[in-house]
Amino acid sequence: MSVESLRAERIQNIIDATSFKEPKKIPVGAEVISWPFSYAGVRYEDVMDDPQKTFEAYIKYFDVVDFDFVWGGTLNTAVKAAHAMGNYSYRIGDDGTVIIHLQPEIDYMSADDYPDLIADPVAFNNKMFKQRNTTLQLPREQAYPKIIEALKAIGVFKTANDLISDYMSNVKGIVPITGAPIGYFSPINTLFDSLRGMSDTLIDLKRRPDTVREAVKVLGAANRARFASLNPLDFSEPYPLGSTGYHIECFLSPELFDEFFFNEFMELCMPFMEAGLKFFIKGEGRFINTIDRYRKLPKGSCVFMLDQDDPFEIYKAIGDWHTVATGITVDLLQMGTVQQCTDYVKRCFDTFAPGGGFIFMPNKPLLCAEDAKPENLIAVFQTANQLSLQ
Amino acid sequence: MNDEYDYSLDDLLEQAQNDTSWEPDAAKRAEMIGALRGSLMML
Repeated sequence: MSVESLRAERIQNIIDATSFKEPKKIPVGAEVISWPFSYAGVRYEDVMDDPQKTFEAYIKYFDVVDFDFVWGGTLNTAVKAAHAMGNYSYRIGDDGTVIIHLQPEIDYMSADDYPDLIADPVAFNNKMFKQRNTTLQLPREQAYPKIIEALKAIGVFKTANDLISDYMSNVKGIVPITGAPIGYFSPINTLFDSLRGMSDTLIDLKRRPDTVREAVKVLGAANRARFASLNPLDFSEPYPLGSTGYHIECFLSPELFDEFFFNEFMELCMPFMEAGLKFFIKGEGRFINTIDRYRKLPKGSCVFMLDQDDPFEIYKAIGDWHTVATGITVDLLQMGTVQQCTDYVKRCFDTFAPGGGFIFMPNKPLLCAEDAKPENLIAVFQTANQLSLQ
Repeated sequence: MNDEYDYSLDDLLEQAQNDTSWEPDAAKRAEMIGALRGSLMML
């Protein structure tokens, strides 16, 4: 089979599986970030300045693991470019490979800054951007060489990622699961992730909830305007999937979940789902407490990448209505035996595969050297690929 | 504010787009500038 035909077949299998038709093969994939270097016995830090070496190390695991699809599948943060910008919120971890996000290193807004944010969110974001990328606080003649350094670093990073993407697509025929230009990111996550930080945003929801509501309203205005300008019929293809994800959502009570995520997600995205678009919902935390809301959305319009939930419990709650993306936990990949891993995979296929509505993937991204024993990962994907054809 | 501090990221990237010293190919310069903008939005 040509690689073009393989890609087309894999895309059709994703469409069928997420439309509750049994596909020719149940799609098997993963979210992968930096773990492949560990499999290759290489530290990312040691190859990151050479795109060819980065690429060659990164793709070695494809010799032993077959995927139909990936979520991500390349490096996700250009650390050296960020450092050239004077932004140190990301760095390479002590293992020399994993890219870590250091929220405590970030200079967040204080509670006293809310009035400025609410009065002019664009100007406030620009101020925060300059505060966080300290190169932009230098005199222009000192900042410019740093910008060139950042551009050269992003060039190296991008070249490596382009080589990896090209290999996955044109040699292995692997397809990305998402990629539709429609995505929803709840505006409270701009506070949670970028402006106020995780713990202070949650505290603000208790101490000054109306201020948070005002901030969320202004932060979400641009996205609401964008959605209003789009015709859902122009985005009706079932593949690639649109996307959303949970960040603060898993920490919210059901009432706050509705207020800050689900109600707007449904209002903005349901017209696209009714037109045919599907959404990949990347879980961080648990879905179970609010999973019942998703019955309000069209059948087959959502794919849940389960994280900490028990997939069998989620399947009972919503498995007849939306697709579950699950099949193995990183805990088992890391600490289980081969037998324990493959038994779990078989139980997932036995339960979730009949009738469609199931795609196979681990519950978390493969990041660190210790995230998966290679022998477990190899056995899991061999088993999944065999069972996916039955 | 002193003039030497009166600039934005856009000003620096426009200067880089017109600067052949770091990358002679204008299309590649534009590609890298777009990639840097996208990357910074994620930080």
